[in-house]
Amino acid sequence: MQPTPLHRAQEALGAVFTNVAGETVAARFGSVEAEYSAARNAAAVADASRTGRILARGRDTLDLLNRLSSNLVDPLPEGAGQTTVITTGKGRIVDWVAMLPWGDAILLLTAPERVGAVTEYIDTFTFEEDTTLEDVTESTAKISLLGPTAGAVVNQLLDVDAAALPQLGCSTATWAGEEALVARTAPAGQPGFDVVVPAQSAEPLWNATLAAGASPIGWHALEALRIEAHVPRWGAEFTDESNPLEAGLLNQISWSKGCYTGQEVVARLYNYHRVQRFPAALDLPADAGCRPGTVLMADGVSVGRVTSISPLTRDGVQAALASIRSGHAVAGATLHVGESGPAVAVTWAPEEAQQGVAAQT
Amino acid sequence: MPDAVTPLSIHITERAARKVAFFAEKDGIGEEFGLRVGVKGGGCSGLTYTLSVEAGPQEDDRIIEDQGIRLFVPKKSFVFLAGTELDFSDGLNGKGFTFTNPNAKSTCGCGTSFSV
Repeated sequence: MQPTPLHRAQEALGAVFTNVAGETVAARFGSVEAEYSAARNAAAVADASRTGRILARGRDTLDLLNRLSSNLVDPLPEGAGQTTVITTGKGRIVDWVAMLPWGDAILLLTAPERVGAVTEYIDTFTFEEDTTLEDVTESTAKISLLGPTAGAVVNQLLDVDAAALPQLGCSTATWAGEEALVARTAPAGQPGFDVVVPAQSAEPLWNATLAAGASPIGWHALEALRIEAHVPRWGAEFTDESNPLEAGLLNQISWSKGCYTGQEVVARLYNYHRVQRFPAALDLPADAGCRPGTVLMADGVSVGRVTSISPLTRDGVQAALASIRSGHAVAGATLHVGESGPAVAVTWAPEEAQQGVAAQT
Repeated sequence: MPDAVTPLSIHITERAARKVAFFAEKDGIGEEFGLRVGVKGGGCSGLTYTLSVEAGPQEDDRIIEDQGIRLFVPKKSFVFLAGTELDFSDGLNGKGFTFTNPNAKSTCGCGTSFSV
């Protein structure tokens, strides 16, 4: 994958780069704590151009995606998009995607690693439908603005009333004479916006957001925010071996829309309390030597593993996400790091994980 | 697979053929009608059947004649349907048109969706 259209602009700001899933991304621009704070208290701007972007066109697009994914996406809410999980017939995740209306097309946002898989999967199930897909990941850029004053930055730079956009609300805008898409999203689980522009327009927009008061934010602070918001990420909290319930994506499932690929399996897992594992949040001692993949134990038995660890340490503790076997994914439960490591408390687990407990007792 | 079904064709039972003719006449489709049989993505298992009585075939449709009924099969659907028998089950507990598809590795509970 080529560097994003914003690589040079980030380099000019003194970004320290790191490797994420084989790609070079800005890890931080200065203090990770300061970047985190900007996103919590003001406005931060991130290069989100690694996100896969597929432009889907054609009158059958919504109907097709409604048949292949778990949430109700046909119709989409008026003036807004929707997030949904594309699932296989076995109920496993192809990807968790956002569908954003852009003019007469739908922009699909995928995990960076999944743009090819999503395209191939939809293509496979396109028979006579009027639907075409175009990978626009490299011809466009995506800039995320996050934080309580992100809307003011959007208002200042783009001809969009940010406050009028509902959650996942979308609007076309003009930037440097080119059409842009503005959507109210939740970057890293924070209130904010995504702006998609042609690649050649990205750097001027990035610079304008900085001039409008947004602070650049890198991967480390974004991960800290995402983990604290319990937002799952492809490759960490879920893969193509996971189902939506194991990934904590229960709220991405419509139980009333009717059949979609994988529906029977997902419904059976949920109704019969057969979900094997759930996501959970932990506070890990920073000196415990944990990393993604570290085994977590209860009563001497392996019950899960760490999936993501916050780069930020506070009072000797790092927030983390884990995948924990049903019955142990309960807020307040105590687990152990490996066979002889320290005890850690589960600080959060989704409500539905309690049903897993009920099923076993 | 029923003995009478040619693996590289699609077979329709006499009972199903009568029902197709009934629908064609009822809807005034015309004498050149046929039953368009295809698949599309969706249903619980990944693929689901499509059926419609049409006035004529579309370009690239494969045309199969059986029991006096013309079947119009879209090219991309044919590989998923080759060897299938189409039947009709009537009555209170009937399921309507049913498919016995040798390509289906698994079928969902309601029988309208399959995977290959």
